[in-house]
Amino acid sequence: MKRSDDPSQDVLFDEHDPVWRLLGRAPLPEPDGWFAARTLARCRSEGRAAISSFRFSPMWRWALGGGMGLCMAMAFLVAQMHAEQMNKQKNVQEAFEIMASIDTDSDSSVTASPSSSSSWQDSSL
Amino acid sequence: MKNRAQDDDLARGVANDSDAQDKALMIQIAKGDEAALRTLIEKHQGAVYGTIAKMLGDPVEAQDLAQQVFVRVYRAAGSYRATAQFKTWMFTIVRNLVFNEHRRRSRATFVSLSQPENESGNPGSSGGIDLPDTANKMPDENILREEMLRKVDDAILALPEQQRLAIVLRRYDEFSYEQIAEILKTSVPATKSLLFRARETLRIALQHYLDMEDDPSRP
Repeated sequence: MKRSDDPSQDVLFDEHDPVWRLLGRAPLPEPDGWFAARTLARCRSEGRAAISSFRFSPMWRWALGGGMGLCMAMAFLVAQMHAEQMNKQKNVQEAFEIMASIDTDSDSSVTASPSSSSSWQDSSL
Repeated sequence: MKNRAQDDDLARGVANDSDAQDKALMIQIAKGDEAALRTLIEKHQGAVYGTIAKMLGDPVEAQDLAQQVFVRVYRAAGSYRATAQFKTWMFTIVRNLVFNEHRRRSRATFVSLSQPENESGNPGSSGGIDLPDTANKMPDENILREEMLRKVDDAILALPEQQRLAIVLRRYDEFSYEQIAEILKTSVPATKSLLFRARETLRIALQHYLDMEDDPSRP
């Protein structure tokens, strides 16, 4: 077996081996002259999937899937940001409303008793 | 030795050119170029058909499988990635189809519909009167040669499928050990071992003809 481990000896073995020479006397059979034409016709009838496989080759499938995923992620992010902004606006509006109501309360208390201080100045609150 | 190295370099260069041409053809085929497909078929039909015919010993089945190989190549053109040599990749398809056919044959039993062979065992000759071949000056030599070719083919057919494909790829298609290993999905040492065993089996099976080669006067 050592002989087959040495590539240089393998080449010599191939060329000078009588078995190798004998095999060479029985060459590969050749196809007939119409083989290419028949094969081409068969490819035409059976291989229409080739074009569709090119259109939907893995590269395109990955690009399409990736694009859709990216769009979904973007939509989710935009919706999230929009909801957050709306929430913030709502909070600000509520704060304004509270302040306004406090102010109206204090104004009414001022008109009722001018001597009493505003709720803003009242340290007990 | 220097000449051998130069020859090897030259062969490698030619193989690289041929591979680049095959890959360019595949790109054209993927674009729907039928002329490129025809060129590719014409370029490789001999090797593909011949290898399958040697593997199966049946020219009709070989033609069908060889066509299937090219149909698969055509279908795969769009998704083909030139990671390996084109010819190696294509012969991986040959291997799969041939081994599948072997498995199918081992499951099924075939009954031949063709005429039974005559006494001489020559399937090509008619069952009628055998007229002497007057056009040929040395009929005995021809008969002996034909018989030898048949025996060689039979000896190859009798090998286990892995050994058979290894020997056909190495002897007739002149693949390197690395390429054969890739096609057979095995290692290079395992490929060498397959080839060694195949050659030893063939040596025993064809001993008679080997002796005749050494001494042509022997009958």
